[in-house]
Amino acid sequence: MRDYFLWLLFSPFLVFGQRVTLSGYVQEKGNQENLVGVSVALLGNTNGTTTNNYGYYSLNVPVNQTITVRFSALGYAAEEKTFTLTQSVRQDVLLVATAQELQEVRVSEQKESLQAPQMSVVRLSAQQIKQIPALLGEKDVIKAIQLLPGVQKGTEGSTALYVRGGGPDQNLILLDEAQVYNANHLFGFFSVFNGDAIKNVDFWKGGFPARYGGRLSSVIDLQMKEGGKDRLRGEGGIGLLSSRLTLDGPIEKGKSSFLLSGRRTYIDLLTMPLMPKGEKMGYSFYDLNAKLNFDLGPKDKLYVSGYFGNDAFRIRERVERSTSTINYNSGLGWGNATGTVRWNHLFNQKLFLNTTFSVSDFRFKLFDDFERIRTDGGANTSTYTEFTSSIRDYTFKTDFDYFPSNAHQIKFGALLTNHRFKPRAFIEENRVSAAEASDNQTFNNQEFALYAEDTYQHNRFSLNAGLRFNGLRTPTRTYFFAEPRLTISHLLPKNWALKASYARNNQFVHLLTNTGTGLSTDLWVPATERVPPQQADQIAVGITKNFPKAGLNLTIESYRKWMRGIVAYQEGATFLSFNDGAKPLRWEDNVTTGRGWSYGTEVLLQKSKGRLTGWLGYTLSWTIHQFDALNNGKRFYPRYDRRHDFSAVASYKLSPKITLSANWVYATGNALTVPQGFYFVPGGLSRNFIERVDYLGSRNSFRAEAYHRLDLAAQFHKKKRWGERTWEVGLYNAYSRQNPLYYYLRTERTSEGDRTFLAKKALFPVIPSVTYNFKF
Amino acid sequence: MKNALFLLLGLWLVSCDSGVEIERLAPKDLVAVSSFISPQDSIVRVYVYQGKALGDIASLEKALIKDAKVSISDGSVTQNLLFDEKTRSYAISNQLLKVTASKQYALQVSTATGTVLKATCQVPPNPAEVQIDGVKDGNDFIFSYAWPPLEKTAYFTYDFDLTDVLFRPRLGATSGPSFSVIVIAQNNLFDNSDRPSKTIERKVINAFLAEKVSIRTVFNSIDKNTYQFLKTKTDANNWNSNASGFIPILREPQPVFSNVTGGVGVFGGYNQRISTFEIL
Repeated sequence: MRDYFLWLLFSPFLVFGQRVTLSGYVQEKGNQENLVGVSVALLGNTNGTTTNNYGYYSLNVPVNQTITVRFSALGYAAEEKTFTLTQSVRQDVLLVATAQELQEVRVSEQKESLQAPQMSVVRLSAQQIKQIPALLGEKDVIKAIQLLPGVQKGTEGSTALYVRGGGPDQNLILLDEAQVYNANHLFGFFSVFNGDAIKNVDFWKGGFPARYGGRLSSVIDLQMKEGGKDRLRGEGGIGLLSSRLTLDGPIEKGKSSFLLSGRRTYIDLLTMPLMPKGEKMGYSFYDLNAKLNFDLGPKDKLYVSGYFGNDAFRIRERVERSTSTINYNSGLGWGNATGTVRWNHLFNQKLFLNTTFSVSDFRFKLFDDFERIRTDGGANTSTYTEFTSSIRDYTFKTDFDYFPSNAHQIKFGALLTNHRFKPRAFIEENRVSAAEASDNQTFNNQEFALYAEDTYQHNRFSLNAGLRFNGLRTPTRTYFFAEPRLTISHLLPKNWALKASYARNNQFVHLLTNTGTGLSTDLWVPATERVPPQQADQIAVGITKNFPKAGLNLTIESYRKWMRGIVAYQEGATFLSFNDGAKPLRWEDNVTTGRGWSYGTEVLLQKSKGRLTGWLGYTLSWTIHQFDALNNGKRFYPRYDRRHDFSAVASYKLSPKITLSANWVYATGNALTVPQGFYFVPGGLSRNFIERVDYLGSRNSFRAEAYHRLDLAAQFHKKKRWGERTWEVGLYNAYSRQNPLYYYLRTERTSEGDRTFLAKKALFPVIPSVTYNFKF
Repeated sequence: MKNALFLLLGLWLVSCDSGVEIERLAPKDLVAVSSFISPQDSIVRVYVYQGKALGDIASLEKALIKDAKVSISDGSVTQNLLFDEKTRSYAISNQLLKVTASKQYALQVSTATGTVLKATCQVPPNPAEVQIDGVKDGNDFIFSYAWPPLEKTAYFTYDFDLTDVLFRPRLGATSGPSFSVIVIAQNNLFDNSDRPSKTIERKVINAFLAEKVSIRTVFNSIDKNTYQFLKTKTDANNWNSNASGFIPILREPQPVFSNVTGGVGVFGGYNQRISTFEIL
């Protein structure tokens, strides 16, 4: 046993005689986009490798022997190449994109995917996301992820994600390696990611490799398209809510490319004519993705990419009265901006480097400007109130991929981020009396990490083992943590595989949220001495089986997660709680920390081949929280504890011209704290009046109605001289289920006295949509 | 393969016990009991009401429980309280109960349906007199309170008014003394952590235009039960006013504090001191 471990430890460094290296990039034929996660297998041998995040592979092959290497990936025709190598060679490979229903998947490839030491991860392609019916036809990456087992959505329409019992802050969202903090447009109904600009999405809900860190519950790693290097392409759509256009093409043919993708809503333009005189109310959002991609030589590549998006809601009103004129101007806005510069360098065929510098900026602003000019000689009023919240990150990151042998693939690297938080800047100004009150806290924290991981394969066994050292320096305290990560996989007979994983994660930012609806009033705040970092341990075991003939894959996973240092608002608190009487309240005074547990079992049956594709997902889960300051210190179910969550997603290619798609979701109702009765008590010590008080029961003891919804869509494709156009018609919430958004008390006055009822607020009835899409 | 399936099944089964206790009393089982006792009361009262379901008429009369057995004990003597039709509460003369500072009391209520509710409280020690520091500013009097020592008064509330006012309007002095707020707290509830930042400074306008005027301060030292009840009740009212069919609630729910086992409500103690400060 000891010898085995010694061999395991030192095998990466053993020099294998009579072997040379075959390496290169795997790209899509035509646009030359680098392809991620392509299986590179040496036929007749159990070992192989996969391309890294930049499409690079490195394989050890025997010298002077004729070998065949198979390159394969879902959505592409497999390519087999035969070599007889006498020395190390660089060989770039082009794969042809193909329709899924035509794809042949070999049993050996099924085994490779089964054996991969990864679990709790799903990769979604842009094509898959585009086939899922969506609200108003707006295709959305985050909404697609919400349909996967283990992921609970927030309230109706929201893009918030609750992964395996974690909160919406516990998801690391990376867009070309830059963090995105608030991924919401239109108060959370749409995410900021334009599907036309996205190439791939990797979604991890457990078993995180050591290269990822900083969040407890999930990683959503989005890669933007690079832009074709062969010719100019375009893609776009005109919808009811917004329109979008993407252009990509070569700057210098075969060597450099660009991508530019924009989207803008026209809600403000459509509603403007409906406004009464003197009143202007409007909402708008836009986003813009841009990317430049340069081949600097055979060993170097440079990528520059950016995202800019903004939401703005504004009300302006002018009221003329006989004695005064009132001018009212109020607004709410938020936006993200990210920028990434990445440099890829090949030191040699076995050592690949990616160095990233990124900037991420999120800002939120709420303002209210009120002016009353008296014409009767009375005192004028003029006040201005502004609330802002912002985060700016500067990150420097370096990642190495080392391919010592076919059995080992080693990744290691380091990260340094400077976080600047301004969680709550507040100004209150009386322009008449010249009185001013303000509050502006700034936090500068430095996050740093070192990591190393090894993916090892030996016959039917494979593992990914890693260690990440994480730390945070705050002005008053420095934290250090070690995070072990392990995923093992064992291939069993008859296409079964058994997998297990363990991961420890720490998180250095918190999200304070009242509603969980993804509203921009949710505040990002840093870990401090009073509110320390969050930590989680997660174990998962699972089995997976492939049914190659039917193109089916079944995965069953059970998980358990322990969370410490999770943050919640105090009872009665709100994001605008600035004082308690005359006592000023900092955000740290409004929050409390506690712990949580979650556990459950997820079943996912995927069909990725044939005319009918899609998946069935079911999750049975429990999430429990315990805070000393909430619910008298007793355990309770948090708002998004869901006992049952089911989703069915299907897409059927009726003919080359028509694609039909549908999804149906069902979820147990949210656990809420709402009045369930009432009683009477004296109003105060004087006992002069008796007051009515609502009875809430214990925290979140009320279950909202179950959520269920059916969405339908049909796509009609037609080839044109200039390219292809697609008309899409859809029905969101096809049977008009009145799903609860929230509950409130409604009072009716009767002759006998007041009656108060608990009323449900539903948002969306059935919503039809028509979208025209084109590409050339 | 079988072993793997058994392992998953085992994990699934051990997942079933969450340890969460959900409290959700049906209105018929929900009884509210409330009483604040103090040495200064001539009559001690206890209010007992049946909880009501949402949709019921909010009628005090329909919620009143008149046939409960109510008693208060100081540990050695237990006194029964009788229902008083006039005040719609259970009452007893304080000459019999003799509520005393720094003493603990236990309240027990048994309803005809078998519900038993219990609560205890401790009456705070006698508070020291509230001191007023003030200066003349033209015709006005600006003053601030010096609160009693911390060790005697952990939580308190207060109220004040002008008393013994003697003012005759005349040319150049048409308005008599009144209060003007310079800095005011949003509520009159204090705990010790508030003291440094909740300094209250006030002004009596035209105080020196009167012939005679005094400030009367009613200072109530309250126990923790009373403080938590009054504070959470205020916050809960704010939560309700934040709820509507137009926008979602952007405030965390605030349950009203209760120290009554077997039901809801409050049993608290307070100790009052009234002081008068003569400006003129």
